[in-house]
Amino acid sequence: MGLNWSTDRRGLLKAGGALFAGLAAHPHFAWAADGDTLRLRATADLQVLDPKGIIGELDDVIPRCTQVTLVRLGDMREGNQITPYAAKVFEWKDPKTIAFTLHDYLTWSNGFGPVTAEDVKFSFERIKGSDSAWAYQFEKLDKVEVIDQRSGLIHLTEPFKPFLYITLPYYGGHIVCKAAVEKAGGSYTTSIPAQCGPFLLEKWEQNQKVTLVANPDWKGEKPAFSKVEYFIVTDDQAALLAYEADSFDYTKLAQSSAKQIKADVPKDSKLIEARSTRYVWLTINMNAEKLKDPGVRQAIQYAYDGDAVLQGAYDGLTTRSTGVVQADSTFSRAANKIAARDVEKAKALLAEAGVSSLELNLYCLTDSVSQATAQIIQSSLAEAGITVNIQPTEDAAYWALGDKTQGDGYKNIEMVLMDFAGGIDPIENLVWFRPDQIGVYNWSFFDSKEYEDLYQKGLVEQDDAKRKEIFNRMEDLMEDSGGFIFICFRPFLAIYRSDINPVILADGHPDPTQFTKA
Amino acid sequence: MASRSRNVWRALMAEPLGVMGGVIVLSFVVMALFAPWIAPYDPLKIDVMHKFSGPSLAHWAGTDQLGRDLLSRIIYGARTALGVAMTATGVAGLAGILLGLIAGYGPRWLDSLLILCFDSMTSLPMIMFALAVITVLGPSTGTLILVIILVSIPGYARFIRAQTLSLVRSDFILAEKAMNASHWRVILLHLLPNVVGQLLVVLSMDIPVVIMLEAGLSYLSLGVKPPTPSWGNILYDGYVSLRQSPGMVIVAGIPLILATLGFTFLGEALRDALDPRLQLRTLT
Repeated sequence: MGLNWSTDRRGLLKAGGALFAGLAAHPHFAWAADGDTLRLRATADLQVLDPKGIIGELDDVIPRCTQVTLVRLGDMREGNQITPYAAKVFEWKDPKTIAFTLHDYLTWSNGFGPVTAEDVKFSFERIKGSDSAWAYQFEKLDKVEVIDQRSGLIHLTEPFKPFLYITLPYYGGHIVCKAAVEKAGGSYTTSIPAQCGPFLLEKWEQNQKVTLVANPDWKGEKPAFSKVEYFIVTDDQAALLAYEADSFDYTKLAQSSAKQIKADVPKDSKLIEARSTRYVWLTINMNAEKLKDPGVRQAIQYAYDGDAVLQGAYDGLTTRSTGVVQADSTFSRAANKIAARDVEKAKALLAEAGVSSLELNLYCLTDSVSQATAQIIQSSLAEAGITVNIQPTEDAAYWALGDKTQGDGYKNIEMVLMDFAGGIDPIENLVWFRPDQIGVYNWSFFDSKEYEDLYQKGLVEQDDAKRKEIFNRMEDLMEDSGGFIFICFRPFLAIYRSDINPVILADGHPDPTQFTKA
Repeated sequence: MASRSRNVWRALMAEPLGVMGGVIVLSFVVMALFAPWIAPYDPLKIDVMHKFSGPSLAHWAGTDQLGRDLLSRIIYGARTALGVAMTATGVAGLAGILLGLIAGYGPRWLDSLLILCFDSMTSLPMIMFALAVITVLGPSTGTLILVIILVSIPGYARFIRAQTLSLVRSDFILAEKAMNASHWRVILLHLLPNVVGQLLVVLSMDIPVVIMLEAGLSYLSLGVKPPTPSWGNILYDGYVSLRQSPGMVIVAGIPLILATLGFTFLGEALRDALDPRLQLRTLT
């Protein structure tokens, strides 16, 4: 007996309609918000959860949930206030010594016992002087002295005020379990050997979702949510659509959506609009043959149309930066030396340098903002007679451009549109332009002894007025070199449900442990 | 020969979709050739103060995220699309004819070697191969054309080889060989004219595929570099700015759809017109 099966188009549509109606009627079909679950969006998957090797957004956010730091930062919109966290006692004994005592309730998962001062010593000293990208944060750490199980002293080599901001609450500042990490071979990647924070990493679905659940052994301040779900959605447009479909409670927004969202904020939602710590600048490589003449570099600085970039690429959501030190902070420079565009002056400088047809390559990432910025730069430099060839470059190839370990190419790159996530203390932003960073992150080949001396002075100077003077002079040197055009600090935009209060840290990442219910 | 061309032309004209396809294709060719005279503005001229303006008398299709006239960019985009597609399919077609004839008419060992090369190339997933080449050489129009040529040659060469193999055993070729005709004479006078017509059909059907590939790679920022207008670039810009200017996606999508339909209709009509069996069926 044969099975007589026939399907026509109408039948198929009917069946599809019935199936959809059935699914829609099912109570679990909708992305219903669970009041006890905080649903956040991440732009990329996690890579390395070991504080020594943290790379991306989730690598930063997850240890904030699963580990603790001696002190922690508050919301960037409220001035990045520092408060003790894992430490019940935290005080500067003198400009070179910090005393701490850990809370008694802190214990490791997987039976590794209490969190101890020995763990703090291990966590910090393993990064100091290592090949970790965060080793610079511990440059001034001498040692951690263990007093007893829960207490210790942090000794610095010199007075170093920024230690409180740039080291303790950040990546390398997360405390790891000495016994567990040693058992794991000295480091780890995506599987945390022991956790002690308010949440435990429950499940990682690669490129899809990360689930964290409340740590039953956590006796500190109880988080407002018993579960945190991170949905990995790379595309900003897709993330916004998902937010509107009630898939998340919080997501960062693409700048291109800002205008429309501001005009028509989705129901029961609030918008966060702030200036991020991500600073953007144009690198002009002084070592490149065509750019060796300072007059040529200065011509580029004069031809650059800052207003057009801010309007065209940033929708007027931010203002021109005057350096790499956080804009509007105590330490920021008042103005750029070349603040206004002067195409005639640019042409005159080129003529003086004997350059008639200058053609340069401009490398940028492939995101829409970078490409728009590059095209405006191309257009504005063309008015001065400079031909710019835009080279949109994928992430991996882009970061190899100025890397000396990838060959000699870094010596000849001409212009690169760059942006870095900055920190709270100016030192964190200025560190990348030291001479020893040439071929690492200093792609301008900016080699200034005075800059290095000032950097060292800035590290130990305690007086804020004197520090401002130092940092401003450093930025003057950068601009005078012709190796930099300071563009802006990227705007920070996010949207969230009105029934929660998000806490956003200075690096633009949310801290789920501090989120509360409105 | 002249009467055959007349028959093909008549058959083409008798096919309404083919005529429509031809008109669309011709319009795009005119658009591409005369872009500097047709486009109302310089497609690269940035005017950030008038970004995302909607359609108006001044800008019929509106402006993009940098205030550039969209209609002008679409018109110049036809140059990019057809330039890449025609050059790539043209060169790939020529290489395919050459290699296909060598494989089909040449010695057995050479045929086996070439088939091995074609199969090796075909076994690589097209998009992965394209991405690899672009990553190594860097995105540019030249790289894009090279990628398309490399991925297209094996298909065309295999097609020509199959046609050649069926022809070399036919009576008129055997007769030519019996009369000591040179290999060149056999290839140029007898094989080539008989295989090239069918390949033209395949090429015309492939042009929209190549246009879509160019648009797709440009959409991924792996094709034509900014600020050169490309339908793929415009589509990407439109997608990024979907909320601010939903029209941009439509504006960039229309020429892509039309070009695909136009070349497909024309190719199908050409195939029917050149296929003697179909012609015979139509006549009877």
